[in-house]
Amino acid sequence: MAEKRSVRLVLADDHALVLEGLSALLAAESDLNVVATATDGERLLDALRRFRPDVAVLDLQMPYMDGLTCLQHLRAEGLPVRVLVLSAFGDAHSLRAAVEGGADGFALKTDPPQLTVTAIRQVAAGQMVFPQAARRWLTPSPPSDSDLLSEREQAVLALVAEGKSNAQIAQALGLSENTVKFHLRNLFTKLGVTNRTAAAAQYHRRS
Amino acid sequence: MSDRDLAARRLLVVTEEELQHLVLDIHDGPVQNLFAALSQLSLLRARMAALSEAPIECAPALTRAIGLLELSLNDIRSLIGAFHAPEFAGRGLAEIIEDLAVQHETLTGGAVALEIVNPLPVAPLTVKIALYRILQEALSNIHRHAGVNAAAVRAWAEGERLCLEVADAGRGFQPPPLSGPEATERHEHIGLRGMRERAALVNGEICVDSRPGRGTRVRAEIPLNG
Repeated sequence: MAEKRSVRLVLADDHALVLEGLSALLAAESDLNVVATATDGERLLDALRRFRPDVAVLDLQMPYMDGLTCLQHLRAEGLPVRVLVLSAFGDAHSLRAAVEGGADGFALKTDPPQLTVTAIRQVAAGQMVFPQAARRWLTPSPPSDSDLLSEREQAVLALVAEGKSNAQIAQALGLSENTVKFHLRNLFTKLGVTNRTAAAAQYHRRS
Repeated sequence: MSDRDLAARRLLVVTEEELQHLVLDIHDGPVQNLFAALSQLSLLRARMAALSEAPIECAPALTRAIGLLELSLNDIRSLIGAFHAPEFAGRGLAEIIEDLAVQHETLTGGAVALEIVNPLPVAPLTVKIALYRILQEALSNIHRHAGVNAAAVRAWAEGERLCLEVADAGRGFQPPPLSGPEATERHEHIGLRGMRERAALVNGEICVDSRPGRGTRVRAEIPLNG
């Protein structure tokens, strides 16, 4: 029987006890697999490049490179990883920065850890996990040519928003992967975004 | 500006900085440890539940301990987390107000209808802190006392003054006098007094308009130059 592939995770937090606790908790979840941990932003980036995980869970406050700078780097590099910010603070400034930085979700250390586990699964499944009140920032000013996406581009965008890979999109639409990449590049340009997460965010806003 | 005024304003900024240190220390220490402890206990609970012969007499104590730790984290968030202020320097008043409205919605599940009536001018640090804390107290009062979870916030500039109005359609109350010889010093009015004093520090005024059953409207007017 084909076993469902487990979600590969990298955790980053400068509090060793948090890493230890969360790792232990996640180790008991059969569908989640922690492949690496990091205690600062630079090591997190190294781990992401090396292990190519599905989801990165990161704290905002970290030495050497904080979580937000890290987020910028990994988005600029186009690392195909979903990002769940795990913060002690739920203040609006942190939330806004996470949303605008292209994170996929936000979980709080003042909530029970089980909620973090749930948020990891949701983010891995392609959902955007933010408090209702913060969703306004998922909807920045709409691009003027947003209605100019071709039917094909709209179909590709819908699948990107579901968290599908290029290969899966190619298969679903009966296209080659190169054609999918071509459409992606065009729709990124039209939407004024540079990565899939931001494109997905725009899609969720428009629909 | 008199030496006394200057000293009062410096104190406002220093107090704010000290408060931020305290808030950061608590989030950098106890919050992290509580979260880590809860992770371990949750794991333990899951392991125990999976045992074929679980020591059932242990489960209630474990569940109780987990509940208490969760409660502590929740308390920290609502009592102290709310005092985590934004970087006031370098951020505009409109953005600071909007962030606070969103934060309030996130923490309380309530709704804040926010209207920035006209572009707000650049305000000095002391004025930003005063308006932020006044808005925070007003929203908190609605959440705790008004019996409704909707608030309307308006901010605008009027000549050389900044105005902030926070209104609700809740149960209202008989507001005590905030100035003059009859001004309230009663303990239960500590929040109102706090707002009055924060406004006074920057030469502003607070006006509370309320009656039982008729909602509440708090209006702050602060001179732009503090």
